Amino acid sequence: MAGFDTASYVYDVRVAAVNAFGTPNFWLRYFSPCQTTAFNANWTNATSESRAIWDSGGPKLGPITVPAQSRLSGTTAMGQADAQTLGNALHNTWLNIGPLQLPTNGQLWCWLDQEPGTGLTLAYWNGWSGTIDGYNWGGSGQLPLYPCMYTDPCNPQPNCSIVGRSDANFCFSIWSYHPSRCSYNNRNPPPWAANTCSGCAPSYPRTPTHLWQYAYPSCGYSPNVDQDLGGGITYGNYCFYLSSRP
Amino acid sequence: MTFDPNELIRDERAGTVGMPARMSRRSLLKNSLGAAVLVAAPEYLLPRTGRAATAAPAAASHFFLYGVLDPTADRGPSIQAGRPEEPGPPASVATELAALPVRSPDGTRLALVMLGARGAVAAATVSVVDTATAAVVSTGTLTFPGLPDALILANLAFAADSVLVAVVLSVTTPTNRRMLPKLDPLTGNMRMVESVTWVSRHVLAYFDSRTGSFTGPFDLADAPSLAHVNVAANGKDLFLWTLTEPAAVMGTKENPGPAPVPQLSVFSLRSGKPRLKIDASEVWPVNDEPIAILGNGAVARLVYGRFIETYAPDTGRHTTVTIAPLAQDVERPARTTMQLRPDGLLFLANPALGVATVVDPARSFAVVSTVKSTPAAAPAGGPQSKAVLSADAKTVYTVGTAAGPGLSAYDVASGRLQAATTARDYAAVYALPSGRLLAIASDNPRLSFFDSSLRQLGTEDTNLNVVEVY
Repeated sequence: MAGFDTASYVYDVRVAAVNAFGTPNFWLRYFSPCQTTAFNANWTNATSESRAIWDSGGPKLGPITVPAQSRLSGTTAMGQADAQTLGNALHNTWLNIGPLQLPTNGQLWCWLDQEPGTGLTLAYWNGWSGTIDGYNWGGSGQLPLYPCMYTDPCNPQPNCSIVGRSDANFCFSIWSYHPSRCSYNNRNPPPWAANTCSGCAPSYPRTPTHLWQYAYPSCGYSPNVDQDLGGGITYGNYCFYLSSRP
Repeated sequence: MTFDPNELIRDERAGTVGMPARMSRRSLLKNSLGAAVLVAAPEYLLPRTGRAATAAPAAASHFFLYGVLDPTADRGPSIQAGRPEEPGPPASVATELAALPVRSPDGTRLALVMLGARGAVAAATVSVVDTATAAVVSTGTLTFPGLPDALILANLAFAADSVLVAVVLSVTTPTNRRMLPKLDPLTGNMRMVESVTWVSRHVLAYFDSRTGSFTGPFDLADAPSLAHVNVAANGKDLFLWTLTEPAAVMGTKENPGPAPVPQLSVFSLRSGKPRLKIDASEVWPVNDEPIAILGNGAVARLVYGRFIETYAPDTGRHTTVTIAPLAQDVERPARTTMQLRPDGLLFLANPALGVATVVDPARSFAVVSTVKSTPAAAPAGGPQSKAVLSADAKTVYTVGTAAGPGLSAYDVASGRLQAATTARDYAAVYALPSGRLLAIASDNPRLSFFDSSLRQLGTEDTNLNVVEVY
């Protein structure tokens, strides 16, 4: 199951991406807090991007969030505030895009973006992860959000060594951006070889890798999307889905 | 937990007790009317140039490293100070910081905030550091009785006089704690998860670094809000962007209510009541948006890395301009930085695009120059400064080279590469007041100093994982 992620608007990159790499199974887009154009920037944009996702033939939407990276080295209060904002951004989008539905398995995986060079403190992670894990969806008593992390487990910055600690709130999955496999694409995905905590941080093996960003425009292609592959799971089942065209 | 503003917060140094400041619709309207009257005040009229008049930091100034000693320790970030021309590792200035430091408009001061707790009493300590001596020159503490479980975020903004520090605290308290069942997808088992409803509101105070005393605190009584805010101050006013928490007010999937609109509140400095409150743009103030105070007192806020909103201080109304060189598709997220220069121009850089541009606020943010560089290999990782402009605005220095690691120097006039060094991989580059460049690496030695032609002058180490440099 392969898909795309992008920091651009889906409607700006959809045609080129689908033409180049085929129909995706899912899209991953940024939600607030966000250092770039957010999916939830306004409802006109969210609707337009949702339509583009539908039109791409892969009506699944996974959320990632990229707070100012300095915050990941911060306090529990910072992590809590960032998670509370993400929960609101997701809930607000779901509320306003009529056909946008929670996954049927009740598990919406939420990726915290730790870019290369960015640290991570246990305090921040516990504030973020604990709030996402316990986020009461619109007061319904449902807890559909699952804290996950976008990182490279082989990065020297603390990642697995934080989220894999016994005193850390849980991280359900890693989305790894290494290694690259530039000779493959979503029409012809690579064999699964994503970096893992168990491989690179054997003292902290508990968090599995389920998503792999294996190709990027720096591989030498023009559509402004990264290409992603699920592993061990059908990742699209852990995304929002569109039941019809908005 | 109910918040009782009558026993709110004490200024421990001055021993004063802040007055409650609940806003009524009547007082809000009254203050809005007052703002309308101020439209005619000449000090709010926009000067023709619209250029800022910020001072360049003194050349003798220290540099300051903000970072983390041990990411697993239950302690906040620290700050260290050093001088590029003096050997030896930077020295500790303060620990347990609760927010990024803020540098004063004249570059002579750095404001820090520390949060602590003594039983059920939370405390917020503001310290102001002299950047020439690296010594703390002023400190004051506010205490919060009856908030044992509160999470507090601190946001600081210097006023134009570089003396008064506005302190906006986001106070988030837990309610409705309960255990709810949740499926563990890794085991297939149900587990019980603590679910908490977190409710945030904001408190405002002003710290006078000359007297070491606070004005306020003032409870803004704006729960339920998102904890995140944007804050800025000019010579007369504090500007505060907030957002009512959408999930708390927006109804159901079947019957969604209207989305709350971010609010801009404008407070006269030292006041706890907004003289103006107005709908801001629809951009949520949750992304640490870069903000600059322009020479005419107007406020420029960079949103989504490509739009500049300019808020008029008299009316709070805003206009939005797209910065064309930055409005490009990109697959990777990266923070666009924005720096107000002493000449009043704004320098903006997006390392994922490899674009650095200078715009003129006095000419509707017209592009003065643009340099296209090799995009940074890790454009979004910390520390965030991937491109800087020399003091004479003739050279842009960027992280990365065509070969990958290193630093590059580009001539602004021609856009051509002037110099490069590829010896090491750097995560960030900063222009120090002395004119030297400081490059940050993730491995030892973490600090490398360069002259303006990228000739290395020396290295130094620190035990901090550097997050930001001032």
